[in-house]
Amino acid sequence: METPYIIDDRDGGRFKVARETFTSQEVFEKERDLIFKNCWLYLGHESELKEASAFVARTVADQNILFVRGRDNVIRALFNVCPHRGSTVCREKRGKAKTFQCMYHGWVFKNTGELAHLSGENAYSKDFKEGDESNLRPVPRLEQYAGFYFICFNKDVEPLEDYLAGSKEYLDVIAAQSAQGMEIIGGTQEYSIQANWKLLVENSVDGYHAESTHATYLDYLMNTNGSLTATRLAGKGYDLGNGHAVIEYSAPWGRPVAQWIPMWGEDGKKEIDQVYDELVGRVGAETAEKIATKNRNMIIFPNLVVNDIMAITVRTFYPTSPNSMMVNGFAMGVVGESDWRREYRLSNFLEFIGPGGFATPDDVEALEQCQNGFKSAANAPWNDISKGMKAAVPSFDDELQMRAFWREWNRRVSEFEEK
Amino acid sequence: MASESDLQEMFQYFRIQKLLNEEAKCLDDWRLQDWLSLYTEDASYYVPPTDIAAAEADPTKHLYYIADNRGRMEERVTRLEKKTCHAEFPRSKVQHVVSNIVVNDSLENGRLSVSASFVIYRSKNGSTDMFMGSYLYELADIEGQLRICKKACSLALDGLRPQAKISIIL
Repeated sequence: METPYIIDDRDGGRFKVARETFTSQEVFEKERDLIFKNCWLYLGHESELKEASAFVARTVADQNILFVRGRDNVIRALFNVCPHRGSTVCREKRGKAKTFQCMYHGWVFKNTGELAHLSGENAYSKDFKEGDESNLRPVPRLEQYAGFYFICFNKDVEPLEDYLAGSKEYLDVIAAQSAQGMEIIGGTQEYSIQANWKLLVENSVDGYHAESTHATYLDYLMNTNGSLTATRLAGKGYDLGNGHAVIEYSAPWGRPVAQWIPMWGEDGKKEIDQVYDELVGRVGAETAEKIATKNRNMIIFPNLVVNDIMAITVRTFYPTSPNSMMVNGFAMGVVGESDWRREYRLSNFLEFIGPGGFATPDDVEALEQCQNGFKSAANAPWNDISKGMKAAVPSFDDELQMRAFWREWNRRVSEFEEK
Repeated sequence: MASESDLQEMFQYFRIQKLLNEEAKCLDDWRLQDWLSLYTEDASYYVPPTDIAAAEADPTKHLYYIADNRGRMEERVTRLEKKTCHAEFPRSKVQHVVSNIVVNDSLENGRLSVSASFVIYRSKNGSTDMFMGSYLYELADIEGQLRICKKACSLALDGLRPQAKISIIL
């Protein structure tokens, strides 16, 4: 690219992003090498592997990974690639299996990755099977924080906890919602969007677009009796370091943990009050208030979104080309919550979030229309994310959180040029 | 010679086919209030996730793409009729093709269980998305009129790729 990727004019209060960063094949390749091969990427949640020998086969940044709890109860991330000739070993999305057999030449692997059976073994040298090279390869790094498992393709990456910086505190807030723990609820929203992946980063923490993009959703809430409290939308944006950022704000909608709305009735009120009281007893009044009544949209650099709003969505995505991405969205809930609360949680989730909701389809439309607009980048070259740049305390509907992402993105991608 | 019961079965099949065709036509023509009028007051409309087997999927336990009761169906229509429903403004062109209708055994509550196959094309912004799968209906005979109590649309798709969204009614 001939122009800089970003213009970060702190004195002038202007922040510009070159639209070519959303369309260029060269940038896409740099992102692949400098971001997706060097950063910690979300793989899955521990609740997805409750029992020994449970597995989930997942694609992370275009690579097929087996997320598996072995027969030895150790959680691993293995490349789902046969060491023999490269075929995908496990072709089911999830389940329980003590072994995985490659369809091509029938090699069988224990769910720890170790080669268990080699057909035609006699034709191989004596110690062939014992060599580490004939086992499923582990992903270079796998670490977890608060039940969220991340992988990194670069073995020399800093420890996950250092990388997560200030976002840890917000993952703790999720984990602290219940004494029983949190879990991913079955049913994955799997979709693709014909837009650059960074558009979804921006959109996921964009407090500014709701009124316009989600006018029909807000109308819906207002038309539905008892679906809102008198709480106003208000809050702040925070830079969490290393490209992570969050907006934290109060909002009028109901939260299963724990903001009651009249629609949930008197019985619902009793239950939500109990949830709130339990929180106060366990974490103290101040933290309880934060957990229960504040909403949080968080981006963990580069591609994990954890939005704790009217329900909790865990969403990860990766580019498949400069103008397309794969998205996986999961709902997270409290382990053992009542049927009533689980139902409202799911209802809250899908009426707003996801491909069939009253909001996400309009986000998708906006993102695809932006991507379309970027075709004119040669003559209309800059995006603007300056909102609130001079504010002493940026509001949740300012754009600090996007600037935090872009500064880190720019740092990582530009490093290449300096070398 | 067809027996009386054969004729009754044919007539019933004809009524069901007519209802399903009418529904498809309402949706293709964007006559969404007319679409709603084909449903009972306690109706529901579901699109289960694509990674859970249809027989196991349960909207109270799994994350669906869509799980509407009658109230939310009405709100869905209200939303789709607004210009601020950006995903469907300007409106896409939609074509439902409904076929392979099978009348299953009657349900305990006296309702009819009917399955059918669908292929739906949606065109907008120069691209066409296709949705295919099977419908599972519960129908009720109310004062001589067949009405839809429940419709579940199981997508025969491996995720919504590349469709991204279900902004139309399936």
